[in-house]
Amino acid sequence: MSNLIRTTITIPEDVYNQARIIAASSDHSLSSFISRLVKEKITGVKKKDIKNNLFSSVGIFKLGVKKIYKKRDDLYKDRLAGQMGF
Amino acid sequence: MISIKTDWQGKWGFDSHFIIYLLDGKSPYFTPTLKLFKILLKNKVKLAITQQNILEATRVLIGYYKLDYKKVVKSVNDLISDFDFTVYSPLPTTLSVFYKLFEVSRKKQIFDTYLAATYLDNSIHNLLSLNVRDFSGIVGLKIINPFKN
Repeated sequence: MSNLIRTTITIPEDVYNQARIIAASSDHSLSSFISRLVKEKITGVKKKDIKNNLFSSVGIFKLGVKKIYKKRDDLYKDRLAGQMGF
Repeated sequence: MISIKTDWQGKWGFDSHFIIYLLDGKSPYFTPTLKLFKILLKNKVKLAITQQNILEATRVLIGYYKLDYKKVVKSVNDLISDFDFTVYSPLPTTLSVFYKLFEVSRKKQIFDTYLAATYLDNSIHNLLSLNVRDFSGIVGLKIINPFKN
Protein backbone atom coordinates (compact mmCIF):
# COMPACT_ATOMS: atom_id res chain seq x y z
CA MET A 1 0.00 0.00 0.00
CA SER A 2 1.14 3.57 -0.71
CA ASN A 3 2.03 5.90 2.12
CA LEU A 4 -1.09 7.47 3.61
CA ILE A 5 -1.52 11.19 4.21
CA ARG A 6 -4.15 12.97 6.23
CA THR A 7 -5.96 15.73 4.37
CA THR A 8 -9.08 17.87 4.71
CA ILE A 9 -11.71 18.23 2.02
CA THR A 10 -14.96 20.19 1.99
CA ILE A 11 -18.05 18.47 0.57
CA PRO A 12 -21.82 19.09 0.90
CA GLU A 13 -23.39 17.52 3.99
CA ASP A 14 -25.84 15.38 2.04
CA VAL A 15 -23.03 13.98 -0.10
CA TYR A 16 -21.03 13.24 3.04
CA ASN A 17 -23.97 11.42 4.67
CA GLN A 18 -24.74 9.37 1.58
CA ALA A 19 -21.07 8.47 1.10
CA ARG A 20 -20.84 7.35 4.73
CA ILE A 21 -23.87 5.08 4.32
CA ILE A 22 -22.64 3.54 1.07
CA ALA A 23 -19.15 3.00 2.50
CA ALA A 24 -20.54 1.35 5.63
CA SER A 25 -22.86 -0.91 3.65
CA SER A 26 -19.93 -2.27 1.69
CA ASP A 27 -17.69 -2.76 4.74
CA HIS A 28 -15.39 0.12 3.84
CA SER A 29 -14.29 3.09 5.85
CA LEU A 30 -15.19 6.47 4.41
CA SER A 31 -11.49 7.07 3.72
CA SER A 32 -10.99 3.87 1.74
CA PHE A 33 -14.29 4.44 -0.10
CA ILE A 34 -13.29 7.95 -1.22
CA SER A 35 -9.74 6.84 -1.96
CA ARG A 36 -11.07 4.06 -4.19
CA LEU A 37 -13.36 6.43 -6.09
CA VAL A 38 -10.54 8.92 -6.69
CA LYS A 39 -8.18 6.14 -7.77
CA GLU A 40 -10.75 4.86 -10.26
CA LYS A 41 -11.12 8.35 -11.67
CA ILE A 42 -7.35 8.82 -11.99
CA THR A 43 -6.54 5.42 -13.50
CA GLY A 44 -9.72 4.95 -15.50
CA VAL A 45 -9.83 1.40 -14.16
CA LYS A 46 -12.91 0.56 -12.13
CA LYS A 47 -12.21 -1.78 -9.26
CA LYS A 48 -14.65 -4.63 -8.78
CA ASP A 49 -15.82 -6.04 -5.50
CA ILE A 50 -12.83 -8.28 -4.87
CA LYS A 51 -14.71 -10.65 -2.57
CA ASN A 52 -17.21 -11.63 -5.24
CA ASN A 53 -15.47 -11.10 -8.55
CA LEU A 54 -11.80 -11.84 -8.07
CA PHE A 55 -11.61 -14.55 -10.71
CA SER A 56 -14.27 -13.26 -13.07
CA SER A 57 -11.64 -11.76 -15.36
CA VAL A 58 -9.59 -14.95 -15.82
CA GLY A 59 -9.97 -17.54 -18.53
CA ILE A 60 -12.24 -15.45 -20.71
CA PHE A 61 -10.45 -16.26 -23.97
CA LYS A 62 -10.18 -19.78 -25.45
CA LEU A 63 -7.00 -19.67 -27.50
CA GLY A 64 -4.70 -22.44 -26.30
CA VAL A 65 -1.59 -20.25 -26.05
CA LYS A 66 1.59 -22.16 -25.20
CA LYS A 67 4.49 -19.85 -25.91
CA ILE A 68 3.93 -16.22 -26.83
CA TYR A 69 7.30 -15.72 -28.53
CA LYS A 70 10.60 -17.43 -29.15
CA LYS A 71 12.46 -14.27 -28.28
CA ARG A 72 10.86 -11.11 -26.88
CA ASP A 73 12.43 -9.14 -29.71
CA ASP A 74 10.20 -11.09 -32.13
CA LEU A 75 7.22 -9.12 -30.81
CA TYR A 76 8.80 -5.92 -32.10
CA LYS A 77 10.41 -7.26 -35.26
CA ASP A 78 7.61 -6.65 -37.79
CA ARG A 79 6.98 -3.15 -36.55
CA LEU A 80 10.64 -2.18 -36.60
CA ALA A 81 11.22 -3.78 -39.99
CA GLY A 82 8.26 -1.91 -41.46
CA GLN A 83 9.38 1.41 -40.06
CA MET A 84 13.01 1.05 -40.97
CA GLY A 85 12.33 -0.29 -44.45
CA PHE A 86 14.13 -3.62 -44.27
CA MET B 1 4.01 -28.17 -10.49
CA ILE B 2 4.57 -24.92 -8.58
CA SER B 3 7.73 -25.11 -6.56
CA ILE B 4 8.91 -21.80 -5.21
CA LYS B 5 10.79 -21.50 -1.98
CA THR B 6 10.75 -17.84 -1.09
CA ASP B 7 9.44 -15.57 1.61
CA TRP B 8 7.67 -13.37 -0.97
CA GLN B 9 9.12 -10.24 0.60
CA GLY B 10 9.14 -7.05 -1.45
CA LYS B 11 7.44 -6.40 -4.75
CA TRP B 12 7.29 -9.06 -7.46
CA GLY B 13 7.29 -8.32 -11.15
CA PHE B 14 5.81 -10.60 -13.81
CA ASP B 15 6.66 -11.44 -17.35
CA SER B 16 4.11 -10.74 -20.08
CA HIS B 17 3.10 -14.36 -20.68
CA PHE B 18 1.41 -14.62 -17.28
CA ILE B 19 -1.15 -12.01 -18.34
CA ILE B 20 -2.03 -14.10 -21.37
CA TYR B 21 -2.06 -17.40 -19.48
CA LEU B 22 -4.49 -15.94 -16.94
CA LEU B 23 -6.79 -14.68 -19.68
CA ASP B 24 -6.62 -17.79 -21.87
CA GLY B 25 -8.74 -20.51 -20.29
CA LYS B 26 -7.60 -23.00 -22.92
CA SER B 27 -3.87 -22.50 -22.40
CA PRO B 28 -2.04 -25.46 -20.84
CA TYR B 29 -0.54 -22.88 -18.49
CA PHE B 30 -3.91 -21.47 -17.39
CA THR B 31 -4.49 -23.75 -14.41
CA PRO B 32 -0.89 -23.63 -13.08
CA THR B 33 -0.89 -19.85 -13.46
CA LEU B 34 -4.20 -19.55 -11.62
CA LYS B 35 -2.83 -21.75 -8.82
CA LEU B 36 0.27 -19.57 -8.70
CA PHE B 37 -1.78 -16.40 -8.31
CA LYS B 38 -3.94 -17.96 -5.60
CA ILE B 39 -0.71 -18.64 -3.70
CA LEU B 40 0.46 -15.07 -4.29
CA LEU B 41 -2.84 -13.61 -3.07
CA LYS B 42 -2.83 -15.89 -0.04
CA ASN B 43 0.65 -14.61 0.82
CA LYS B 44 -0.44 -11.01 0.18
CA VAL B 45 2.37 -10.55 -2.32
CA LYS B 46 2.72 -7.09 -3.84
CA LEU B 47 2.22 -7.64 -7.56
CA ALA B 48 3.96 -5.41 -10.08
CA ILE B 49 3.65 -5.16 -13.84
CA THR B 50 5.15 -2.73 -16.33
CA GLN B 51 3.56 -0.84 -19.18
CA GLN B 52 5.86 -2.84 -21.48
CA ASN B 53 4.31 -6.13 -20.27
CA ILE B 54 0.82 -4.81 -20.91
CA LEU B 55 1.75 -3.68 -24.41
CA GLU B 56 3.39 -7.01 -25.22
CA ALA B 57 0.40 -9.03 -24.01
CA THR B 58 -1.92 -6.73 -25.98
CA ARG B 59 0.28 -7.10 -29.04
CA VAL B 60 0.06 -10.90 -28.88
CA LEU B 61 -3.70 -10.96 -28.37
CA ILE B 62 -4.64 -8.48 -31.08
CA GLY B 63 -1.68 -9.06 -33.43
CA TYR B 64 -1.32 -12.83 -33.43
CA TYR B 65 -4.72 -13.98 -32.24
CA LYS B 66 -6.71 -11.21 -33.95
CA LEU B 67 -8.91 -10.50 -30.95
CA ASP B 68 -10.97 -7.34 -30.76
CA TYR B 69 -8.88 -4.45 -29.47
CA LYS B 70 -11.50 -3.04 -27.09
CA LYS B 71 -12.22 -6.47 -25.63
CA VAL B 72 -8.51 -7.08 -25.08
CA VAL B 73 -7.96 -3.71 -23.41
CA LYS B 74 -10.95 -4.22 -21.11
CA SER B 75 -9.90 -7.77 -20.23
CA VAL B 76 -6.33 -6.77 -19.42
CA ASN B 77 -7.52 -3.77 -17.37
CA ASP B 78 -10.00 -5.94 -15.45
CA LEU B 79 -7.25 -8.45 -14.69
CA ILE B 80 -4.86 -5.79 -13.46
CA SER B 81 -7.56 -4.27 -11.31
CA ASP B 82 -8.87 -7.56 -9.90
CA PHE B 83 -5.45 -8.81 -8.87
CA ASP B 84 -4.42 -5.38 -7.65
CA PHE B 85 -1.29 -5.14 -9.79
CA THR B 86 0.60 -1.88 -9.55
CA VAL B 87 1.55 -0.69 -13.02
CA TYR B 88 5.08 0.71 -13.33
CA SER B 89 6.41 2.97 -16.06
CA PRO B 90 9.95 3.65 -17.23
CA LEU B 91 11.50 6.58 -15.38
CA PRO B 92 13.74 9.30 -16.84
CA THR B 93 16.69 7.32 -15.48
CA THR B 94 15.60 3.96 -16.94
CA LEU B 95 17.49 4.43 -20.18
CA SER B 96 20.81 4.85 -18.41
CA VAL B 97 20.05 1.78 -16.26
CA PHE B 98 19.32 -0.07 -19.50
CA TYR B 99 22.67 0.95 -21.03
CA LYS B 100 24.56 -0.30 -17.99
CA LEU B 101 22.67 -3.61 -17.93
CA PHE B 102 23.03 -4.12 -21.66
CA GLU B 103 26.79 -3.78 -21.49
CA VAL B 104 27.06 -6.70 -19.08
CA SER B 105 24.10 -8.83 -20.21
CA ARG B 106 25.00 -12.07 -21.93
CA LYS B 107 22.04 -12.40 -24.25
CA LYS B 108 22.13 -8.85 -25.64
CA GLN B 109 18.38 -8.75 -26.09
CA ILE B 110 17.21 -5.14 -26.17
CA PHE B 111 13.64 -5.59 -24.96
CA ASP B 112 14.41 -8.15 -22.24
CA THR B 113 17.04 -5.79 -20.89
CA TYR B 114 14.74 -2.75 -21.06
CA LEU B 115 12.06 -4.67 -19.16
CA ALA B 116 14.62 -5.58 -16.50
CA ALA B 117 15.79 -1.95 -16.38
CA THR B 118 12.23 -0.70 -15.83
CA TYR B 119 11.71 -3.08 -12.93
CA LEU B 120 15.09 -2.35 -11.36
CA ASP B 121 14.72 1.40 -11.78
CA ASN B 122 11.43 1.15 -9.87
CA SER B 123 13.18 -0.77 -7.06
CA ILE B 124 11.64 -4.11 -7.98
CA HIS B 125 14.23 -6.86 -7.67
CA ASN B 126 12.13 -10.01 -8.12
CA LEU B 127 10.71 -11.26 -11.40
CA LEU B 128 8.66 -14.33 -12.22
CA SER B 129 9.25 -15.56 -15.76
CA LEU B 130 9.24 -18.83 -17.66
CA ASN B 131 12.22 -17.55 -19.65
CA VAL B 132 14.87 -17.25 -16.97
CA ARG B 133 17.75 -17.59 -19.43
CA ASP B 134 16.59 -14.51 -21.35
CA PHE B 135 17.68 -12.43 -18.37
CA SER B 136 20.99 -14.12 -17.69
CA GLY B 137 23.67 -11.68 -16.68
CA ILE B 138 21.20 -9.04 -15.46
CA VAL B 139 22.63 -7.90 -12.16
CA GLY B 140 20.32 -7.17 -9.24
CA LEU B 141 17.21 -8.92 -10.56
CA LYS B 142 16.24 -12.30 -9.10
CA ILE B 143 14.45 -14.30 -11.80
CA ILE B 144 12.35 -17.31 -10.81
CA ASN B 145 10.50 -19.78 -13.01
CA PRO B 146 7.58 -20.83 -10.79
CA PHE B 147 6.87 -23.94 -12.85
CA LYS B 148 10.38 -25.34 -12.96
CA ASN B 149 10.68 -28.71 -11.26
